[in-house]
Amino acid sequence: MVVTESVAIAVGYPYRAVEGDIQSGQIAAGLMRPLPYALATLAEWSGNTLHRLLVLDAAGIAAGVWLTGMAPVSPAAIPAILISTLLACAIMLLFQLQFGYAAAWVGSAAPLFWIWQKLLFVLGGLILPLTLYPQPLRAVAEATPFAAMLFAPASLVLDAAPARAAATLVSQLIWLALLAAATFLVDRAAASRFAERGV
Amino acid sequence: MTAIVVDRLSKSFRVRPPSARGVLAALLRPEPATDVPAVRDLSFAIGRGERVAFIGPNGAGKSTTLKMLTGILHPTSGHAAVAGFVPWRQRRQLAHRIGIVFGQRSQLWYHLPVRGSFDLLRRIYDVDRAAAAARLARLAAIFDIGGFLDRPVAELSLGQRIRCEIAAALLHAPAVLLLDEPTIGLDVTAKSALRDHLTALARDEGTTVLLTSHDTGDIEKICDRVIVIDHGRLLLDEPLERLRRDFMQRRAVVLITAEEKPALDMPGVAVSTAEPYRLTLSVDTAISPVERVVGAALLRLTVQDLVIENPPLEDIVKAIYRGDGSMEQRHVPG
Repeated sequence: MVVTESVAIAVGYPYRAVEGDIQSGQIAAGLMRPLPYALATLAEWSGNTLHRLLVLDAAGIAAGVWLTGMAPVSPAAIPAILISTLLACAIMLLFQLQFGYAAAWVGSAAPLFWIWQKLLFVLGGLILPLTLYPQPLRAVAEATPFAAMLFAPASLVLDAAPARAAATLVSQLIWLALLAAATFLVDRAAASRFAERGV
Repeated sequence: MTAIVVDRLSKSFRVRPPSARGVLAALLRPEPATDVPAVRDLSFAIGRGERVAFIGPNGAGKSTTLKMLTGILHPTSGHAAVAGFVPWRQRRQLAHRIGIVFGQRSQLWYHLPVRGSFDLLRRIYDVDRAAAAARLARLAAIFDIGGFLDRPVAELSLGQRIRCEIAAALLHAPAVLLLDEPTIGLDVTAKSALRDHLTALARDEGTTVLLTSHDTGDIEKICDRVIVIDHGRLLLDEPLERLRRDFMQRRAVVLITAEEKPALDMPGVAVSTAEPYRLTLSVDTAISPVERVVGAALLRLTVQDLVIENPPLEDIVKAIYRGDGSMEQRHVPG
């Protein structure tokens, strides 16, 4: 729970910043710089996320130790959990960047984001761990990127055996690569739209 | 040497009118789109170090042209080069050579101290650390921003923020500075200081300045040439002196007096409006300089308040259309 909540809260709502930039025209200032707007935004929000993640995880781990009276994970599992958590945040940031860009087409991205967020809560394992789902539903959930954002790092807290950790991280890396490619395409499409229609 | 070349540049926006038949019908059978021209066959050239006002009424195509010159908007047809680069093909390279200030839009990070924003911009524009420090010291002195470099941008007044915005746009020593309404929202003192700073810097460093503004005061203080566009077309391209002589010689003088029916009869002075305790005069400064009119008013009337206003840009454009210097008697704060 500490891991899933900290990922979801640490990333926050960067889509709102991008949406706001598009709606207000402020994105023009970003597009005029020599650094691509998408990269600058990701860099800014990665910094914000890391900062919040440190604070949230410190508080979460302290609460976990206090409530259970024991260390929440074995030291050997920590590197895999850390990497998985960072990958989860990166996937979530890429998703949110795309939702922000959606404002270029649909005006407000909030309705799309609302649907996506509810799917994340259900298929990502925030409401209930995916291990408690019926097998067919669990199989579907694990095949989506939602599980890669929440369930993946949380599941390593319970079982970080090398083979399972490697499979989890590879799955996350595949989703990250796919999302990065999709974000690149959306970024190009948005830039073309701005170039033709203005910002 | 030419800093900006614009050759028969045009931009049209494809607009689809909203359907009156409902959302579903609009999706299934959308209304036919029409092309709305924003800039039409615009051509001009600006030499290195020139300070040019690029003016026109709202919707004239100024911002559209500026956006094309930065490369974020692609033209429908025509050609342009800024600092030797075609903006929409070489936007990244061009970004290193131009500085941009949009009065309403910030390029500073709201929650960071000003110095933090400058440090980020130094990295984004790949400016050497020592060179950036020297540059920042110079800009801080010129724009008088040294006192609040360590304060968050969110805590600055509008005037302080705009000075920081312009200094930020100049950190990488651009050859061309594009300013879109840089003094909008500033008070009279802040406007005056900013104009002086900008003029001094552009003159000292040979920076080419292209400025859009609705404030004729900006144009008169900063620029030495004026390009006027309207409905996307070039209307006039002349030295400021000629524009001033032909179209900007009138000033509005508003007098608030103790007399109920104030009157002031002088050559070159026409009454625009006369109300109880308030007299608005249109002064032809070629016949009676403003200081002479003000002096006479102070001598003959009990003046309680006094405002001198520049002619509104819209009136100048109308006068240009008419081809004479007689303007309608409307007023905007100067």
